[in-house]
Amino acid sequence: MKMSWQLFRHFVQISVLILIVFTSITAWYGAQLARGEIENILNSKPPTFTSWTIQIIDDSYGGSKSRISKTTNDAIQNNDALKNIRSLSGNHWVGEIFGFKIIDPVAGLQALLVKESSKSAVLIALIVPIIIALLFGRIFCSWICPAGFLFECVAKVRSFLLPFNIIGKSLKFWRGHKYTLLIVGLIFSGLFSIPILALIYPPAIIARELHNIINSVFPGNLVMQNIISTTQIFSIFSLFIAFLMLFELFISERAWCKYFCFGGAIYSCLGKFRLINVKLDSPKCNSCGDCTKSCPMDLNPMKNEFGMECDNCLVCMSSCTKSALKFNFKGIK
Amino acid sequence: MINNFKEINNMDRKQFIKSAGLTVSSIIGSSAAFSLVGKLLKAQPEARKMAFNPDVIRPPGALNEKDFLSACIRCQRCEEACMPEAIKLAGDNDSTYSGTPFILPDETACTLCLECTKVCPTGALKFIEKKEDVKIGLAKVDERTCVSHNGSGFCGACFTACPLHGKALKLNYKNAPTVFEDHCVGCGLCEEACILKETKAIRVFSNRKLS
Repeated sequence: MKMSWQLFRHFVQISVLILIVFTSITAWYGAQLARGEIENILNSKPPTFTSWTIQIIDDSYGGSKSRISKTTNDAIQNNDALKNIRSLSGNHWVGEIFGFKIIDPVAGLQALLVKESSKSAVLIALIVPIIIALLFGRIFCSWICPAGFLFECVAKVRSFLLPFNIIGKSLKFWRGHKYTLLIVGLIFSGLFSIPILALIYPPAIIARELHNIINSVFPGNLVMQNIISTTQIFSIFSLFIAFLMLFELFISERAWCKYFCFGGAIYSCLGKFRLINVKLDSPKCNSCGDCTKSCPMDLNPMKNEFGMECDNCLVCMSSCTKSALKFNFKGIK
Repeated sequence: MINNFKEINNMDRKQFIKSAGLTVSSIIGSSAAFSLVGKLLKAQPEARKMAFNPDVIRPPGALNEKDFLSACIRCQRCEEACMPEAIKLAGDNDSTYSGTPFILPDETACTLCLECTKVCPTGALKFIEKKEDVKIGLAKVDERTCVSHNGSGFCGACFTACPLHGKALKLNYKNAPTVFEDHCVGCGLCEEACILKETKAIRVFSNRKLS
């Protein structure tokens, strides 16, 4: 029972990752289908004699694409396979499920600051993440975020390397950095109209990179010739993730999630009064300190100090031998 | 009940200023580093790099350039939704424009399905219902190179390609086309269809002002 929560959490993380890869592949497949439709229309015989003669003239001149606009739009919009692909598309950054859009709070906040953006659409798309954050706090960080999963893997590698005396003690920073980064980033993006937070947010980078990698590895995509050349699969921003991984491996464990993640800052603020959290049942506790040692966010579950930065990863619950840590539902009491 | 808010909520003023200074300098430093690394990694051929210029044609419904750049969160959903593969994304070499969508009408023109305006989550591309309301550019005819205009031929390919049949483009004597600015949406299908390969006789120009 103890380990099962962690197994379940890793299962969710991996299945989210697989889902993102899957939607990227279906998007690529959709583009192939659409190209097939367009080619069918170009090769088919036009219905009337005049259009047929026009086609012959066009083909002789080389301008054979001149009649695609209306017929292709109809054919593409009526294609059932393409409809299915469109009903589940996107990723954790911006996704669409049966026509209902879901947007990441970082992206949503940046979009809300722009004068002419469609605020109602953004607010509707923000409903689901905000409700989840109000109920569970930073649950996105530990259960869904692929960057968090990546950094967890890095922390695991770090724990394997620790006995060899290669790595020193993990550095600590001020926790308020993430809130400052959020405020400064929003002001910066408002002033210079560069969405700096969206550009450097690791989950967003991973979403973009996955999309690019799949489109450049799979054959026959015209678009990707433009964004990255054939010699270079990753874009510059993946260097940022590489830098963070090295930083976390050698200097400070889980530093991005703990001290700098502005997305985590938004979820923390929303989750301050969350309804469901982990709570210590003090009579059962024998003060062994296993939970405090295991906490990936450097919190202190042994003294019941979870605070708003707890990401409900339930590692403390799994590490407790006396099962003194339990779920607490605020609304019921 | 929960006491360790103090650590976060009592933001030391000194520490806040210190942290703000650190973040600002790190943003500036990292952007400088990004641009430097981008220059080092420049593996793309010159033609591709110049494919994007600030006077570019954006997808239908795009806001004005300044608002567009801050509202576009680089989610690449418009590129995913664009089935004719007309929407392209700016690459690493285009620094702050990197990841933003644009259209090169002479390669693949927009077919005005308006799917991109439906999927855009932030309204950087405003939702448009009718294709007549799109305004992404304006076509112009070069009368010296157009075969119908200079008398060397009898074409009309742009007229057959125009999705606004008979409104935006009209044919005169010997099929010589003229553009009507009020109705032309700037989709670029005429430019794609133009039979001249190297120098297109009808070209779409962006109506964006350089910011």
